[in-house]
Amino acid sequence: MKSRTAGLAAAVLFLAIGGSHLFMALYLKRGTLAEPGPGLFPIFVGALMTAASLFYLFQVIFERHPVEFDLRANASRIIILVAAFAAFIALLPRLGFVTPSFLLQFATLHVFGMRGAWRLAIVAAVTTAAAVLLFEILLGVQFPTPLWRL
Amino acid sequence: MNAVEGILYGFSVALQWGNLLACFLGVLIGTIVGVLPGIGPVGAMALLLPVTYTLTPAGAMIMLAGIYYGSMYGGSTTSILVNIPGEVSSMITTLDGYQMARRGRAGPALFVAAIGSFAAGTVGVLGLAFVGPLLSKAALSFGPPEFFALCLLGLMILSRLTGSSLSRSFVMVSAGLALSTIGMEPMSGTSRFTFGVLDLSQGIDLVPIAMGMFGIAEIFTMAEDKLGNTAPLAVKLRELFPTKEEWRRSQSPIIRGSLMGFLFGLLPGPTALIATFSSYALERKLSKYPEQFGKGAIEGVAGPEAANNGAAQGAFIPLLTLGIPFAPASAMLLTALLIHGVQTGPLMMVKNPEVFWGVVSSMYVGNAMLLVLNLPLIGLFVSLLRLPIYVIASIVALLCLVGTYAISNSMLDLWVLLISGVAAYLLRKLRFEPAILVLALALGPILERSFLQSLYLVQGEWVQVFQRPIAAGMLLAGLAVLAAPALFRMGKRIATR
Repeated sequence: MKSRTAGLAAAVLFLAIGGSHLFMALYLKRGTLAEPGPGLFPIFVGALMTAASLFYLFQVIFERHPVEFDLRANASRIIILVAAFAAFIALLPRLGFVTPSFLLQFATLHVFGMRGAWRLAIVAAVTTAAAVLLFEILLGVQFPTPLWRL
Repeated sequence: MNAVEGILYGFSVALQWGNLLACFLGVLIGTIVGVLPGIGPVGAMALLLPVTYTLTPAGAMIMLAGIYYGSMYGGSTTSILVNIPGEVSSMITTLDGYQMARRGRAGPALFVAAIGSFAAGTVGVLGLAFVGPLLSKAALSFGPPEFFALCLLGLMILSRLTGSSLSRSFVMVSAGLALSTIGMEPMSGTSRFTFGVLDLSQGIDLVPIAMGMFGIAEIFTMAEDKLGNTAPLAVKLRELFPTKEEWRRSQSPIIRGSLMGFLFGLLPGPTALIATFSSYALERKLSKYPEQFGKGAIEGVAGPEAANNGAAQGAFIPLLTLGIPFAPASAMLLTALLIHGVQTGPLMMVKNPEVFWGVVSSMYVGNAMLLVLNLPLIGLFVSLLRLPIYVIASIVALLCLVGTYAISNSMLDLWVLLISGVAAYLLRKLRFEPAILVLALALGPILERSFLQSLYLVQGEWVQVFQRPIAAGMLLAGLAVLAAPALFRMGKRIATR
């Protein structure tokens, strides 16, 4: 993605968020300045965000030296990591801690350069066991119960 | 209780076995976090927040504060030995510290950095003990308009100090404030922007956002940069001590750096980083050997290292006396205080003296522990750098996820963590500073409450806010901060004509 395009996309996104915030805040009770309602502060915040985003949008359009923005560099690593994190979060309430943790460790170790399926599996298993010992047993963190144990 | 009585009382709290252990764990974890790339002090504090539930409020704060200033010590080790700053505020130390190490003077560089940090810690403790009560007393006369003006001033200074453009800073400020409006309104309890999600009615918690923006985003950056392991230079205990000449050249920079760092720490934003750069520039200007800077000048290590620790200690003043966090780490401490039911703000010193004075005195104890950890035991911490990067990254990833989950066992927090991490990774690429968003999120509820209370107080006649000298002064100062660069540019243009 070209740098200016990325900046423009960000500006439009912030503008949309600011605009939506302002729009939704207008539906809340505003009250008066003497007796402000729950919508008054969000209105100011929404207006500030909209104005700041517009200001940023103009800045991006007229910027002489746009920022370097190259998502392609090692994008696959980032995508794998995001997918691994998302999988951990999605699986945690269904499978409990051990399986999602093992999968996350496996993916992270692979992304950061560890090779060999058996080696990866062993290290992921060891770190997961250490995590169970530390968090579940020593620190008493209550993880969700796997569905098959319910 | 005067300052001396307060410090003595604080020592009686800090030297209790439980609190000593909490302090030791805090500074130990802080040093490890400072040495290792990835998680950072804010992430580590967030991680250990659930662990502190079992401690007393004073013990919890002592441990979390130890992580923060301990990380400043650890950060310098990697800067000097590997040329990689463990913490962003140790960045400037790489310039001369690593050059000294390459010339076989790593030991004196580490020694001076540790002594500088200790001296700054001492200045910080004295500053907190003497300035803190005065500021607290002054803050007792603050009403909602003054707190509102102070929060606004903080946000305005923050938007100017971070180095990103004003428009980017304001986008981040408003995004943080917008996030803070999710959940119940502070006065009436009306639910806002929850979209029917029950978990959102309590608002967006600071921890997952901070953890995502500082921890998860860092993992993505590490994955992108393909950081490899760099063999650290070895240091032996007998090589630690500087020569008489090196020690003589270090003393004044340490004093100047400590004072400068402490004063910078009172301001909002990444003040530790700014303090180190300012200290470096000052030492270079004052040095008899400016040509040695960048090639291994010991002043270039002594000044900035004292400054970053001084700033870390100074940052406690706005939090402990006003209840206002001016740095992401302070925001984490505020979260911990609230969880432990400690009243924050000017009355904290009266209502919870054991927390205030215990933390202040524990800093001195902690700094003494750090001297031992960072000088004779330096080899132990350096060996951590030999851990393969994939092991560090996978541990950090799991710590971020479990640490966030453990706080309130909420799946929503985990999704917020991931989204914040991705967002911060992309925002940094576009030169936005996510730390501003985190701070605005922390300041948002205080700002809104004081804004609404001010309006009730002045019966909607907002002009009356400007008739209160302190509030008006702070608002004007904020405007001056915003307008200053433009005015300077204009002045320069007029002068060149």
